[in-house]
This record gives sequence, structure tokens and C-alpha cells, in this order.
Amino acid sequence: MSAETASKGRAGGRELLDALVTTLIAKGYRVMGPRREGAALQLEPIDDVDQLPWAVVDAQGPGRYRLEQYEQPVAFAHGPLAFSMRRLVSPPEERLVTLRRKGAELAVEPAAVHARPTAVIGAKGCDLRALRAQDAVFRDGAHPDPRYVARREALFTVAVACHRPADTCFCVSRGGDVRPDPDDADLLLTELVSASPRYLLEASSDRGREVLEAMPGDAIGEDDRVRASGQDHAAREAMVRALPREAAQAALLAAEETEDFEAVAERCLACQSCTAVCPTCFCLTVEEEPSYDGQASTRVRRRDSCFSPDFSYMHGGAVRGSRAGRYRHWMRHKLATWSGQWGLDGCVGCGRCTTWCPAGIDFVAEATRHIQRQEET
Amino acid sequence: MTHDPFIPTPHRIVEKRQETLDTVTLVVEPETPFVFAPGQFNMLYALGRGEVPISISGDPGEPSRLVHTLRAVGLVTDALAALEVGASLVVRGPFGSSWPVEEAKGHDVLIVAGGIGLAPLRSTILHILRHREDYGRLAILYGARTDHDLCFADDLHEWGGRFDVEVRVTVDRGSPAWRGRQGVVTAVIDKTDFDPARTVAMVCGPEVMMRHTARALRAAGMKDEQVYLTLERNMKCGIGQCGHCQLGGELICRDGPVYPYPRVAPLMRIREL
Repeated sequence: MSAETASKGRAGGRELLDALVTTLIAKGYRVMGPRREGAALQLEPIDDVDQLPWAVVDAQGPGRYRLEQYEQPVAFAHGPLAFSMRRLVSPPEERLVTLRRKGAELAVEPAAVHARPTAVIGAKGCDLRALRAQDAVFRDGAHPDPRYVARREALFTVAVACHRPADTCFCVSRGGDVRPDPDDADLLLTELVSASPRYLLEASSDRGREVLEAMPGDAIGEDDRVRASGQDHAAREAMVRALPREAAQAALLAAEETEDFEAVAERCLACQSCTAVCPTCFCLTVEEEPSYDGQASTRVRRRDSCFSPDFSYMHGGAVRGSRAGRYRHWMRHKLATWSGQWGLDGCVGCGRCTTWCPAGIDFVAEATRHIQRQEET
Repeated sequence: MTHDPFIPTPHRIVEKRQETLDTVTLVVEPETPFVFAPGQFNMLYALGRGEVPISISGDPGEPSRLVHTLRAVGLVTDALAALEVGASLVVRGPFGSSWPVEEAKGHDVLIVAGGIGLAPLRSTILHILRHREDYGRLAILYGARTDHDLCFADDLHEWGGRFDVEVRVTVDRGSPAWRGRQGVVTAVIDKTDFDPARTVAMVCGPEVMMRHTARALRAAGMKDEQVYLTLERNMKCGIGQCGHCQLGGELICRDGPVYPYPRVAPLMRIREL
């Protein structure tokens, strides 16, 4: 089949998804997709489309996550998965280097860089935009991290247009959309919802085109595009939550004092769940794993959270000793100071911090309080 | 493959000086010249304990010798301060911004340092002395808690003996044997001969000392834009990726540690930022 035909995309029923998984596996990728794991949908390896969450949806709210039966036999009706793709490019823990005593000297043994070609089916627009944020920190600065760069290049993404945002979603107000930016992915998948769903697959990278060329399928028709566009429109309308970027930034920049955050700090457990599930959070620490004889030590990079008092420790104590100070840092970083640091937004509107907060703190509601107060003054 | 910013280089310690009871200077001679700008820092590593950011205190014009001065105040710095000649000093860097030695050309330079804060400024002083004709008057105001906490005593004696440097040393609380000046370093600013209109001030010390110094310099007729200072925070990477050193939107390891005062003055006023 010619490249020109391939660039026009593929359409088909569930068998198109089958072909996609088969083709990606044949090209050497570990394929991952949404999958029911216990009581949540997680990003897990799949080798069969039957493993996708057919007719399962999530009900998300502040401190609430439930799986429910869905009326349509579709696979991508769910909202953001519990964890984003962040762990694929920036794992929770990895070895950097081992230093070993050799007489009076110390020998340096760099850890090997592992990057397994991985294809994610069903990447959402919010999570793809969050990868841009990770790229800015670990790839596009003056000191690219070779581990990150290798894993990022090994990551193949099949984006999916959201047709049923979760109640906690607010990506549109953050400059995102239910239809992912094709530039953020290799392939873009549209699930047209009905009793017998239809799938549209379009390529937006050379790698994506290669996969598409190896796949059978019909051409995408004009009626397909009309249906997709209608579905996008309905999904946008269904997303009622909003946290406007400029208003939130101005309000949080003005909220300088810890007093402004004491009420929310009363409820915040400083448990670090929000920073664990946030797809843009990047903070790290490096810890020692010494050998038993004290002759060597491995330096291990781990996720860190600004909610830990140790995070800001200097000789004499923590800079942000109070929970109010730490909550202020987290919210101002996400909504106000991030753009100055990295030239893009620190919050993509996935709503995970709200869903997975055990105290049910609603990030949007808390930020909106600051916006309202700013407007009153 | 991309250069890995997390892989350090060990260098053999060739010289160690005890500056004070808890402060040491460690000198290594890197195999290849270690080029840095005055004010930049390195991450220094202690086996099994971790890394800390330490300013380079040596002469930028002598890249064959890499010099750090550090105070033993915690787990990592205790181990670093205990290293002896012949041991490996494990280094990553250099990182961060530098003192405005280019912008200060043709100007008078006022150095105000407190305690170990003289370390990052020592590299600037040595740079200015190496290019003495490029600068106007040079005054070094140095304060320490006691006369036993004065770092770089040999340097201060040497600089104080020159006709082209004005050195003023003061201690908060002198021992019975101290016959020098007593009082905070800000008190000697108005005793120093400099033209506020054509001076660049470079300040390093505890944050409270730097705030007071900036205020005293303003009272002496200087504008905030003529004042530079260097900040310190917890750092795990040195390259803007660990997030620990944030002060508001500033990533101190990447955007600092040396800042024009107006850029960070509003941030330094906010508690727990």
C-alpha cells in the first residue's frame, strides 16, 4: 500500500484494534494499554484487545474512584488512569552510578541505561501534554538526562480522543482538548461510540505511518469525520469543570503568604498522593545504597515530593516547615511559577490530584477560592 | 550517547588547609583544566552519604587547581571535611550563574562577606586581582561570628597588605585576645571609601546578613541594581531537575545561585517560600 493511502488513515471495527496490537508487537514493542487491575484502571502490558476495559468506566470525584458498567461496548470511555505515562519515561526509582573504594581512590561505575521500546495505546491528550512538561525538564535543557532521552525515544504513543471526560477533568480550560494534539503522538485513535464501535486511526509521525502502512483497514470516510467531530464537540460540552490559566496564575502569584493556605493545610495530610499521580511532577532526590562493608555505594534516583519536610532541608532545618508552606509551594508551582521556569503550563487539567487525595481536597475548588478572592480585592 | 550529568569525576586531594575549627579548604589538581566562572559551584560527594553543593573558592585563572572551602555542618560535609591529602574528592560541575565580573569592569567593587560566605567571593577577588587594571577601587568587608571563625586569614593578611585593596575585618564577638574591630559587617559599610554611583557590590552570607547589607548599601546611596548576592537551598542535582532548590519560581541551581538583588529581593521577604 502506498504511503499516500497510509497517510489517509485506517477505519474499521474492533478488528482494527486487533491489527494495531499485532502490528506493534511484530515491530518489537511492548504494548501497554488501559486494563482493569483490582479496583482501578491502570496502564498495563496487553497482548490482546480483550484485555482492554470493554464497557467499563470510572466514576471520579474528590477522593473518590469507582469502576462502573458502561452502557456501550467500548474500550476508551474512561477518564485519566490512576497513573500517567510518566513512570515509563521517568521511573519511580533507578540506579545512576556506583562508587567503589579502590585503595585510596574511588572508582566510578555508571549504571547501564535501559530503554525498552514501548507502545502505549490510549494515551490521553492531558498525559501527552504532560510529557511535553517532562521533556522540558529532562530533555530540552542544558543538561539532557541520557536515561530519559533513551526512554522517551523508545516510547511510541497511540493517542485517543476522549469521548467521555471524567467529572474531575478540566483540560480544555488549561489549553488542552478532548482531541489530542497529533504532534504529541505517533498515531491518533478515534473511538466512534455505538453498539458496534468503529475505530479511526491516523498517523502523525514517520514511525506512526510505518505502523499504519503495515495494517489492513478501510479508508476514513467523510461520514466518519463528521461523527468524530460531533463526538468531540459533545465531549467538550460535557466537561463542565474549568480552571482558567491566566486567572489562576495571577491569583496564585498574589497568594504569597502561608496564611492564605492554612485552611487547606488543616485538611491536607501531606501524604504525597497528589504528587505521586500528577503527570507533570518531576521532583527527584538521589539517595545512597551503601554496601554492607562500606566500600561501595550506589546512587539511586527516586521520586520526591515537595510535601515532605525533608525536601527543603538545609543545615538548621526545613525551609518549608509548615504544611501551609508546602501546600502553597505545590499549588503555586503548578499554576503560577511553572511557566516561568519551563515555558509551558504545570497543570494539564487531568484532575488526578483531586481524585486520589484521601482527604478529598478539590484542587480546582481550592484554586478557584484564590481566584475569587483576587477578583474581590 | 549524551553526556551524563549525574556521573561525577574523582580527583586526588593534594592539599588541605584547616581554615577554622570546622572549616577546611581542599585542593585537587584535575587531569584536564577545570574551567569555571567565579561564583559557580560543584556538587561534592561523600561515599555512602551523598552530595552537597559547594562553591568553588579558587582562582578561575588557575584552572589546573580546583579549590573548595566547606564547613562541617552535617552528614555529608562532616565526611568531606574529614578527607585527607591523597583521598579522592568526587566532583560534578561546575553549575550555576557567576558574579558579574564582566559588568563590573571599570567600576569600583565592594565585596561584603559573612563567615563561610567569603568562599564563593574569594574566586572573584582572585579574578579581580589577576585583572587588577580592569577595575577601580576594591574593598573587602568581612565579618565573622568570632575571631576564631575567620576564614582565609592568610589571604586577608595578604590583601590587607596591598596598597590597591581596602580590607576591613570585623567580628560579632571577639575573644579576649582580639584587638580588631567588633560589630556586624554592615556597620563598616559607611566607614568604607567608595563612590556609590560607580560601585558594584557582591554580597554573600546568611540571608539575614544579606538583607541588612542590601539595606545599608541603599542607605549609602547605592541602587539595588548595583547589588548582587548568592543564595543557597537544598540541592540534589545542580541542573534544575530535582526541584529542591526552588525559591518561588527561581531554580537556584540553574537560574542562580548568583542573582542581581532586585530579582530575588521580593522572594527573600516571604516566609517559608
